[in-house]
Amino acid sequence: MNWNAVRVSLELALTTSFFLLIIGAPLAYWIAYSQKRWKFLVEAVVALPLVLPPTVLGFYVLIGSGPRSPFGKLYQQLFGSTLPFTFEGLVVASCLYSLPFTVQPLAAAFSAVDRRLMEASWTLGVSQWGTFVRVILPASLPGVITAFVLSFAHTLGEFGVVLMVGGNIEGVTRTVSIDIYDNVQALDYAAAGMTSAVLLVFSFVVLALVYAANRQIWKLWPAPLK
Amino acid sequence: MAGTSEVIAAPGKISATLIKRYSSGFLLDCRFEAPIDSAKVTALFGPSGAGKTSVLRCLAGLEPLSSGKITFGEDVWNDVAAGIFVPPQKRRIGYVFQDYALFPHLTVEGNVGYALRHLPRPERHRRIEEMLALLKIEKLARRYAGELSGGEQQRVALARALVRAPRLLLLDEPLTAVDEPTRQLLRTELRGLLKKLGIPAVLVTHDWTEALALGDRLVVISAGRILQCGTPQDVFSRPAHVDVAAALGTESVETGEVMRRHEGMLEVRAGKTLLHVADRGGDYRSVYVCIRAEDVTLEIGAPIQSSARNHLQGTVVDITPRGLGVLVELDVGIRLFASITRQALHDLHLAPGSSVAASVKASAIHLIPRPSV
Amino acid sequence: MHVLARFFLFGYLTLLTFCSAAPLPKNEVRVAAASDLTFALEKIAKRFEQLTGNRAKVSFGSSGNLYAQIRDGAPFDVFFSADLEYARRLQEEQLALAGSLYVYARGRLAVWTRAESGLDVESLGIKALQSSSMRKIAIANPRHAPYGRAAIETLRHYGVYENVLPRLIYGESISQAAQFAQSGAADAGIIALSLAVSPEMKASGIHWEVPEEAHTPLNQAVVLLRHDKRATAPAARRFFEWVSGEYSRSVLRSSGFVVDGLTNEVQK
Repeated sequence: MNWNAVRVSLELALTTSFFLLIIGAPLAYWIAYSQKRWKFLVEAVVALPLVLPPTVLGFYVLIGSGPRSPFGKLYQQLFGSTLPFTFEGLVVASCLYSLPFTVQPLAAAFSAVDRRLMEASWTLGVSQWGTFVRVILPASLPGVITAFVLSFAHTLGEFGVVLMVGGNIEGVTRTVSIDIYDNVQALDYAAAGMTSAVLLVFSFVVLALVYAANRQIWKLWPAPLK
Repeated sequence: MAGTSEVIAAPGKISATLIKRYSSGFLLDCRFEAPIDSAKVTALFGPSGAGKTSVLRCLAGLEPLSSGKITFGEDVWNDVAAGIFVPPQKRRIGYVFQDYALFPHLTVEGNVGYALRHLPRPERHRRIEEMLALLKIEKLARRYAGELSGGEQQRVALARALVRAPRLLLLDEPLTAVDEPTRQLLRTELRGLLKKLGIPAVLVTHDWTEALALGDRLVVISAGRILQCGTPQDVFSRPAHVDVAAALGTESVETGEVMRRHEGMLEVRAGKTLLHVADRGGDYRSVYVCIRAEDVTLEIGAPIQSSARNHLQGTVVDITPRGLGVLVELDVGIRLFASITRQALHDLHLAPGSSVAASVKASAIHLIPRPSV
Repeated sequence: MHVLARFFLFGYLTLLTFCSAAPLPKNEVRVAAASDLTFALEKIAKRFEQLTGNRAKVSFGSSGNLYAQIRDGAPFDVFFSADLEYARRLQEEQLALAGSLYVYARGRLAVWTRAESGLDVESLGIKALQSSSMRKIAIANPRHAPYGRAAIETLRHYGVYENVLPRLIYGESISQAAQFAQSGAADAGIIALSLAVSPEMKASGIHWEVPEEAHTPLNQAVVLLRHDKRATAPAARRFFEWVSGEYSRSVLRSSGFVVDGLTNEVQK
C-alpha cells in the first residue's frame, strides 16, 4: 500500500477543487446571468473536457506548458521551473480536466436563485460582488457543495492526464491511479488490488457523507418561502 | 424620530419619460411627474398587465430605459441620450417587492440589517432595533423569513427598505399578499408611517381603495400608457378617459367631512349635501365618499317613504348610453351618477334639466379615509 | 432512458458478435511489439508484406503491458519483448509455442538531448546529466520497463545515481520517456538507442551511446503465441522466420540494435 500516492492524490484533489471553486464561480456567474449572444460558445468550451479524451488534454498541456511554448517560457521566467512533471503542473491540468464538473453545477445553482433576491440586494445599496457573496452563494450552497465534491471525485479518479504530464515522481506526481497502473504493469496484482479497494471505499464514504450533509443543509432553512 | 434626521428632502419632483420596449412586444411609454419635496405618496394605479411594475423597476434602476430620461430632483438617474445610467445601488431608494423577496437564509434581524454592513456593530444593532420597534416586530428578530406570516413579511420588508433612510420609497402592491382584515390595518399603519418618516413614496396598486387611501396623487396607467394624473378626487370625479372610469369601478367620488357619529350612523358633509352613512368603525374625519352608479335609484314627484336613508333633490345634467342602459349624471349638491335601464329612462321622461330625486341606501355609501393635507 | 439502454445493449451485442465470429483472414499476422521497435519493425513488416502478400498488423506498447494483455487473452500471434524474461515466462505458462523463443537483438541505451540545450553530450557522456541545466531527465519506469532498469544501472555504474535521482521523471514506456525529452518537457532522456537514431529524434537532437558494459545486457526475444481454438496461422510462422532473416537483421543493426554474437542457448 503506497500511502505516499494516497497523500498526493488527496492533496491534488483538494487543491484542484479549491482553485476550481475560485475560478469556476465567476465563470459560472457569467454563464448563469450573461445576456451575450455568444454565451453558447463559452458553454461549449467549458464542456469540452467532458468529451475530449484525457490524452488530448494531456497532450496540449504538455506541449503548451513545456519550456518551448510562450506560456512555458513566461512561467519559467516567473517561477524558475517548468510546469510538466511538477505538482503545480498536475493542478493546472486537473483544473482544466475537472472544469465542467465545477462550473456546470454552479451555473445551474446560480440560475436557480430567485432573481428578485438579487434585485432586493442591489436596491439596498449592495454591489454585484457583495450580492454574489451574501445572497447568491448562500442561496446556492447545495450547488457549491455538489460542485466541490464532483470536481474532487473526478480529480481523484484522474488517470490519463496525469500519465501524460505527471512523470510518475514518487511523492510528487505519482497519484493513486498511476500507482495502481504501475502495480498492474509490474504484475503486482496484490498491491494493485489493495490500493484499488482503499480508493473505492474512500470515494464511497466521501460521497455518502456529502450527500448526507447536503440534506442537512436544506434543513438549516426551516421552511421554504411561500 | 431618530434615524430619519438623515433624510435629505430633495426639493422638487421626479420627472420621468419612460420608453421601454420589451421582447414580448409590450411597449411602455410613460411621461409623468411626482412630488418628492415632502412625504407625498404617488399611487400608480391601473389594471394588472398595465406596466405599473415596469415603471417602478425603471425608477429603481432595475431596468434601463430604451429611451427617455429620469430625474430625481437635481440628479439625473437615467438619460439614454446622454448615456447616463445610475445603478440601483447608487440611487438610495427603498424597494418593497410584491411578495417581499426576503432573504431566506437570514433571520429578520439579518434581513433588516442587510444594508448596514458598513456600520460599526453597535451602531448597526441600534438601527436594527429601532426599526424593529418602529414596525412592532421586535419579537420576530430571530425568526427566518419562511416562518413569518404574510403581514409579518410585509413589515420586515418595509423595515429592511427603510433602515437606511432612503430618499424615495418604491412599493409594489405592498398589501396584496396579505388577507383582507390585515390589509385594512396595515393600510392605516403604512400611511401613518410614511407621514411620520417623511419619505416620499411611489406606490403601485390595482386596488382603487388602496390608491385612494394611500395616494396624495394618482397616476392612472393602462396598456403601458399614462391615462391621467391628478389628485384622487380629480381623477375619480372627472375621469379623462373611458378606460379610467372603467378601471375605477366607482363612478361618484367626492371629498367629505364626518360631522357627527350617532347610533351606528355617520353624518357626512359632501359639498352642499349631508349624507347618512352606515358606520363601519374607524376613527377618521376627512374621507372620500364613493357611490357606485348601480346603487343610486331615481324617482320623480313627491318623496315617498323608503328604507333608503338618503333622498337627494337635484337636476339631470347629462345622459350617456352605457352598455345596455344609460348613465345619468346628476347635480344634487354633489356630482352623482346613476345607472338605469333604457326602459326606466323612457318611463321617467328624463332629459337634461329634468328635476329628479335620487335615493341611496346608507350602506351603499363607501367611505375611504382621506389623507389630510 | 429505456430506449437509450436498449440502443446500447443492441450495439454491444452487435459488437460482440463481430468480434468473436468474424473469421480471421488466413494471410494476416497480428504482432505485439515493445515500443523500442517502433521504427525498425515498421520497415521490417512493410518489406514482409511486399514480399509475401501477407498482412502484418503491429501494436506497440510496453513489454510488461503487452505481456499482461497476452495473459488475459489478447489476440496476438507474435510477441516481441524488450525483456527476455517476459518471453520466457510466456513459454513457461504454455502461452507461447515450445521452442519458438528466439533472441533477435540486444538493445542499447543512449543519452539524448535537444540540439539547442547547449550541452555536448557526445563528448561529455554521462557527465552531461550532472549539469545544473538538466532539471528534468526522463527514463522509462524501472519497475516494469527493461530500459528503465538499464538506465538506473547505468547511472549507478558511473556513480552519478544520487546526483541525478531527484531530477528523474518516469515515462510509462521507453517511447514516452523519449517523447518527454523530444518535446522539450524534459531536458534530457536516457532512452533506447533505436529511438535516438530514428529520423525525428536524430533531426532534433544529439545523443551519446551508452557503452554496453554499463548495464545488464538488454536481451530481447520474440515468441510465437499459442491459441487454444486454432492452429498458428502460416503467416505468423513466416513472419517469425522473416525476423531472423538477413534483411531484418540489417534493419535492426542500422536501427541501433546489436544483432551479432547473440547467445541463443536458452532456446534449446
